[in-house]
Amino acid sequence: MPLARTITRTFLFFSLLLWTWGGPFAKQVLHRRWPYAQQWVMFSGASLDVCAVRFTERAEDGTETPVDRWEAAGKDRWDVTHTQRVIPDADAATAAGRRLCKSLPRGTDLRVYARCATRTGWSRVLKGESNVCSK
Amino acid sequence: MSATAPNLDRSRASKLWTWLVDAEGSTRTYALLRVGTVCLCWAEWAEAFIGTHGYSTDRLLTAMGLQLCGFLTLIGLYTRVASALFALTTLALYYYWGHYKGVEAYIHHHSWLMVAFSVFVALAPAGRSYSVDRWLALHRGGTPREKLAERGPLWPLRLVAFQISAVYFWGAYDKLQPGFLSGVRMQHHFMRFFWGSDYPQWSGFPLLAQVAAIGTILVEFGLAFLLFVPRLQLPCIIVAVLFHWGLYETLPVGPFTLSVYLGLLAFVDPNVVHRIIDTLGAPVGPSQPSQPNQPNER
Repeated sequence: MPLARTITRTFLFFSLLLWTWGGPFAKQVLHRRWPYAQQWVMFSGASLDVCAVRFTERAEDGTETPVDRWEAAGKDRWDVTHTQRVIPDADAATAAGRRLCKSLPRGTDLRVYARCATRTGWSRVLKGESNVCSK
Repeated sequence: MSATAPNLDRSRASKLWTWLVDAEGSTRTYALLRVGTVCLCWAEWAEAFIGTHGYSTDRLLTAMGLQLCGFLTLIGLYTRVASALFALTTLALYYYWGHYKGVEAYIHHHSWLMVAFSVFVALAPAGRSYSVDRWLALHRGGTPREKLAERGPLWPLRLVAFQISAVYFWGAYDKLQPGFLSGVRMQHHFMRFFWGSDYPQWSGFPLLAQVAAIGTILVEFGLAFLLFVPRLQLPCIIVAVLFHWGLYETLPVGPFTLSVYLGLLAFVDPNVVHRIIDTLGAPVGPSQPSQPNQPNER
């Protein structure tokens, strides 16, 4: 093969290899943003808008009983879309609790506990401090 | 022993160099990549550049590149020029429309794969197989024999393979964080995309999420390297196909799955691809239309 062709091929090959591997290397190893190539941090920023939410009914003696929000509302959880099943943050969890109050007997003491997603795990955002049906 | 060791190393290095840069093989894989890449790009982007969405110079140029050059690349007519212009168009979609103009739809992971594939196809003799160029060359006569052979340099195909390897390697590397390794990020994905905010009450849920997380990392690191090992390619490709099928069914990954499937072709020896296609197209006997007066054999 002519030398010029070998040199061109070699140059193109390694330049393009750098183009495809340089972006993720810069981002993930050097922690620098290199906007000229994809960084392959797939789904690392996804699913941070979900909370694990628990509703409980508190009795006068302080004991708490879990409340199934679907059963209380007379709905089947699989009849709604997955986005309707998801509570994204603390405000939405409180709002879901208030909606749930309408399906419960008047005077119910309903507490909301929520942990929301972070990149490192769960962060506790609601600890059932107040009765959401009283507001 | 000590005298032969450097020789062995030199021979290995020379083999590696040949495999990377100098090797030649069948061009049919390039033709499959050429057609597949254009189809993916059209399915993903062409609708945004039809006339009803407005006219401006940049829109028109992009539309021409996508539709006209895309069509010529698809059928393989003036393939060298058309595929180069098509690649420039996809680069413009990623850098100009995506990064400069801020349209997020053009900077997704699958967008990058389509851009990279179109660039690598443009650098390959992708018109030597399954193309109008080839058909014309065969029918005109007078074309030099070496230009008719379905053979060409394989270094652009190696780049496709390294691109797919990068997807797996850096995808796995990014997951080496406590949040993912503990399985909690898997719990987030499962609840966000499927289950909802009521934390699953099954006792095995956290363990299952952790097993899935570590399994994902192992599969990705494994595929990043083992796809290059000829003996392991078939099982690795089967694992990759199942893995991406699973992702397609559970997460909003869009055309990413199909893009990776297309890229997996780069790991298969092009001469094997050539032989498989020959086998598939081999005549099995005279094909005659059934005679209306003859009773069907049962």
